[in-house]
Amino acid sequence: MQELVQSLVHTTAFLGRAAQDEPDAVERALAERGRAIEAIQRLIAAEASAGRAISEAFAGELTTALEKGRQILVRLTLARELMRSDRLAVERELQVLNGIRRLCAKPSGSLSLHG
Amino acid sequence: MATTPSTLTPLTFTGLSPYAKDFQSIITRSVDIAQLSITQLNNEASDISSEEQLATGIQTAVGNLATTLSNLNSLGSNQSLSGTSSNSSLVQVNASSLASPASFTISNITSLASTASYSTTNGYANATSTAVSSTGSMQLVINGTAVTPNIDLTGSGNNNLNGLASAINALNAGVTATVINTGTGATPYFLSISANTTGSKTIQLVDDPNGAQTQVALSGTAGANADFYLQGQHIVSPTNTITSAIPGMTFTIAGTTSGNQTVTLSAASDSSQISDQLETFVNQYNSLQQLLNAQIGPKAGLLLGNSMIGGIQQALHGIMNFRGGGTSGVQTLEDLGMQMADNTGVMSFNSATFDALTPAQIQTAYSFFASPTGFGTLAATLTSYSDLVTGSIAGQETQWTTETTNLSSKINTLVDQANQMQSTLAAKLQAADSLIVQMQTQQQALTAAIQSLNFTAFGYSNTNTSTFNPSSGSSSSGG
Repeated sequence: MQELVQSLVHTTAFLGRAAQDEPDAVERALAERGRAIEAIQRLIAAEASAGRAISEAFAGELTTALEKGRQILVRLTLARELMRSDRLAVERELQVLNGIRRLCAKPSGSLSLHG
Repeated sequence: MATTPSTLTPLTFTGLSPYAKDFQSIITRSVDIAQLSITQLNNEASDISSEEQLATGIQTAVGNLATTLSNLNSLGSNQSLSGTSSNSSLVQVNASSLASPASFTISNITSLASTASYSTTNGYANATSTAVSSTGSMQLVINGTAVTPNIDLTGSGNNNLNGLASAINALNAGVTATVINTGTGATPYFLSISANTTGSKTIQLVDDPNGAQTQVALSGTAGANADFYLQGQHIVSPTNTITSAIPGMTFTIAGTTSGNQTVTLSAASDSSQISDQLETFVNQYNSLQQLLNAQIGPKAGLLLGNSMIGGIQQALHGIMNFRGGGTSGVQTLEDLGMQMADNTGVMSFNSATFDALTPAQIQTAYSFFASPTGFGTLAATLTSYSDLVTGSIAGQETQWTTETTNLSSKINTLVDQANQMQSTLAAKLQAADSLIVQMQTQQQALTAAIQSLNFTAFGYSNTNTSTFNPSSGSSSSGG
C-alpha cells in the first residue's frame, strides 16, 4: 500500500517539476501515475470488501496528491493558454507580413520609371 | 505618409493562478515586441510606396512641361512655320520643318501611284488537285525580269493552285499570291497576284521556262507611278507620299489636275501655334507647382527635404525669370501675356495681350523662344529630372526599388520564421491538449478513489478537496 502511495506521490511530484519540453518523460510519468491510481482503486475496493478500515494517513496522502495534481492541471492549462495566444499572435503577424509583401509588390499597371 | 499599420492585439488572459497577471504581461510584452518590427516594416513599405507615387506624378508633370518648353523652342527656331496646301483634295501637306517661309507650285498631276494587281484569266477546277504546270516548273517575271529561282512544283502535292501561291510567296519578290474561290462554274478557283507596294509594275507567269515557255494568261492592271511637276520639274514617284522632293516638307498626291490647274504648297508663320503652346505651358506649370507645393512647408508630404524638389523649383524660377537677349519687343513671358498671381503663385495666360502683339513683336517672340540659352536649355534642365532612364527621379526610383527589395527580403525572413513558429506552436498545443486530458482523467479517477475511501472508512463521501475544471477556469468542490 505504501509503495502505491509513494509511486503516486513520486510521479505527481515529477509532473510538477517536468517541463513540457520533455514529452517522453512526462508521458512515462503520466502512465505510471495512472497505473498507481488504478491499483489504489483496486486496493480500496478490496479493503472495503474485507471490511477493513484504511488509515487516515493513507487518506491524507491521497488527498495531498489530488491537490498537487489539481495545481499541476492549473499550471498546464495556463501554459496551454500562453501557447494558444502565441500562435494567434504569430498568425496575425503572418497576415500583416503578407499585407506588407503585397504593398511592396508593384502593381502590374504601374508606370515603370525605367523605360 | 505612413498608413496605419495592422496591429497585433494581445489576448486577454483569464486564469486562476495568482500568476495569471504575470502570464498576461508576458503575452502582451511578446506581442508588443513582435509588433515593433512589423510596424516598422509596414511604415517603411508604405512610405516607399507613397514616395514612389509622388515622384511618379512629379516626373510626369516635369516631363510634360519639358516637352512644351522644347516645343516652344522649336516653334521659335522655325518661326512656327506650318505647311499648308491650296487644294488639299489634290495635294496634302503631311509635315513641314522648313526653317523659313516658302511656297512651291505643283502642276500637271497626270497619275497617282497605284498597285499592280493580276489574276489568272482561266479558272481551275480544284485548288489542291488540278495541275497548274505541264512540267512542274514555272517562272515569275516582274517588269520583264525573271525572278530567280524558278518555281518548283515537282514535289508531291505541289503542282496545283495552292502550291503555286505558296511557292510565289516564298520567293519574297514583292508580290503576294492568293487563291480566290468564286464559287461559281466548273472552274471556280483563280490565282491573284498583287504587288506589295505602289508603282508601275508588270507581272507575268511562265510555264515550263526551260522548255516551251508558255505564258500563263493573266489579266489585270499594271501598277502606276505618281506623275507630276514640282516647280516645273517633272517628277515620277512610285509612291504618292513624297518625302524628298522638298527637303523639310512631306506631301501626298491625292488627285489629278485638269488643264492648267496648279496647287501651291506654303510654309508660313502661324502664331496660333505659339499661343496654343503657351496655354498648355500655363496648365502644366500650375499642375507641377501644385505638386511641388505639397512637398514644401509645415504640411509637406514625404518628399520634404528631397533635393529634387528644390532643384525643380529652381528650374521653374529660371523659366519665369528668363529674359531674352534683345532690347525691344518680347523679352519676357510677361510680354506674351503670362501673369503670375501674387497671392497664390498660380500662373495665367492673358490671350488678349498675346493677340495684340504686332507681326514685328511676334518676330521678336520667335527670337525669345529660340534663344540657345533659353527654352531649349530650360527644357534640358527639366528633362534631366524627368528622363525615364537617365533622370534624377529615375535614379531615386532605383534607390527605392533597392530599398523595397531589401524590405521584401526582411519580410520573407520574418514570414519563414513565423511559419516555423506556427508549426512548432501547433505541435506543442496538440501535445499540451493531450497532456491536460490525461491529467484530468487521472484527477477524476483519484477523486473517485478518495470518495470511495471516505465512504468505506468513514461512511461519507466528502473528500474535502476541490477539482479543477480547465474549460470553465474555476474550481469546484469535489463529491
